[in-house]
Amino acid sequence: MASLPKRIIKETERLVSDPVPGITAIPHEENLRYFQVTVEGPEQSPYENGVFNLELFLPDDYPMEAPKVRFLTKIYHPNIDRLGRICLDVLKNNWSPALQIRTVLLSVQALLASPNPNDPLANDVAEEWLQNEDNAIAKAREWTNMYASKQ
Amino acid sequence: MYVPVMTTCGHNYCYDCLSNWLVSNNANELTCPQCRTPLKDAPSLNSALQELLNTVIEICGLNDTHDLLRGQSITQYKEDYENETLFKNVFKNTAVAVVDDDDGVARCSNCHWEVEGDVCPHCSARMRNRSREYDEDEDEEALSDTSEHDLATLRSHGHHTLPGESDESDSDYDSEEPSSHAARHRFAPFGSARDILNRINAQDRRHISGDEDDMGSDLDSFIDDDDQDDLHSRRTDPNEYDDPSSIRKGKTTSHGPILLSSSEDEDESEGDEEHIRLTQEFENSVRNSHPEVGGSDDIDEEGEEEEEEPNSDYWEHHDGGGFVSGDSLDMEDIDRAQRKTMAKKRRFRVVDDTDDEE
Repeated sequence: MASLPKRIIKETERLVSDPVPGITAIPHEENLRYFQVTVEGPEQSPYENGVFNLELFLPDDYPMEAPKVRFLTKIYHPNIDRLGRICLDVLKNNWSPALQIRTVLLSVQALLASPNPNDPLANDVAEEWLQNEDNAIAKAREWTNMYASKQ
Repeated sequence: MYVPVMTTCGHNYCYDCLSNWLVSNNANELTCPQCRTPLKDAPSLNSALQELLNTVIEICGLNDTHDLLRGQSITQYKEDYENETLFKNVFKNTAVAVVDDDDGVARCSNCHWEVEGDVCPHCSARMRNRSREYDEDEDEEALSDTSEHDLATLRSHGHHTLPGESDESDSDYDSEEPSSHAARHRFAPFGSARDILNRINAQDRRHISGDEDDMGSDLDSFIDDDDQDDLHSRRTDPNEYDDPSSIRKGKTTSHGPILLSSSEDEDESEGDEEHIRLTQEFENSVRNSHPEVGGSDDIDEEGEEEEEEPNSDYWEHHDGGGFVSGDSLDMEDIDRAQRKTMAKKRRFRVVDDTDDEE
């Protein structure tokens, strides 16, 4: 922690002083590389009105390496498995050091708005999504109410 | 930013930061962090921007630490420039890791040395196509399995690309630009085994586990799934399994006929048997091609030939059955599984000499 890179400090400051609408990221007191994140479900999506908890960890090589992001709240989404792992290009191959915590979290929020069942991580969810989209969306909504409702 | 460099796409970065990114970026191409344009040529010093920065620094002043850092950055750049090692040589000294057909070992295309990690231990060329994931523990499995797919695919098309690949890659690789490797890899269907392997691996990862976590944790999640039937209202219809595999089929047509036919009518949990079948084919082809390849291959593999027989005996008698998950396999499958184990162990010996307890 002693040698927290300037970039991380700057990003953290900006996240606090100028937060992204619908997204909060609070660094852990003891480990400033670990963030507790909440993301609001985007409007017009099945996740609308939900607040999802995530964890975000900045590896030692950040920003040369992508942050590790995981959903803690259960979510019914073809690109998020039941361990909360996220299938998102910018978290893997398409990571670039020009991206930041805020842009990554925005991408995650955008992923909620546009699920991609053709590139699935949760195969059963994706299947349902392709075969019976209405059903899948209803289920996603149900899960959002069940697990991600605002207190 | 004390030493600003500009990429060919016009974006400016600190020399140190950009070098770090280019070295750590393990994609097939070097890309601009800002716009992802592939970088063919090394970025060059932006002296106009540097002058501007110097002016700003003069006006604002720097504290001692930053002054020191600035000095270091500038010295580093000058040294690299004079030694012609700018950007840690990623634009010059690069090679491709090619999987040897014969033993499944990744080798440097410059010097044929066995490669472990991102840099060739012999000629210190940076591997352009070596994914960092292979250095993790679980990837013994991934490496072995995917190279089997890979080899099976190559064979099914009657191609013997690998020897050719390593032949042509002898000496002229030094002078080649990294981008031309990348380009060849993208367009040539069998450019390099490692490349195909990476591609297949990437697809498998995306469609099966979708993460760098291994299959184990993925299976865990399936198990988890059963425990929470009420939540996920999972159908128990066996046909359900056909669809993920058909999705996979659709996505992985490039794997060739063998993969396709073997993945038909099989559910996810029978992936093992699929591997076993592929392994058998791989085994057969290894057996067929081995004498000929062994004869013409002059890469030094000290003692491998001599030790092979006792070694496979050893594994057959000691550990062969350990890999089989008994209940689902008949005798023939067990036989295959043993051979599979042998094949794996034999290859691991070469990949990771240290891991072998003999």
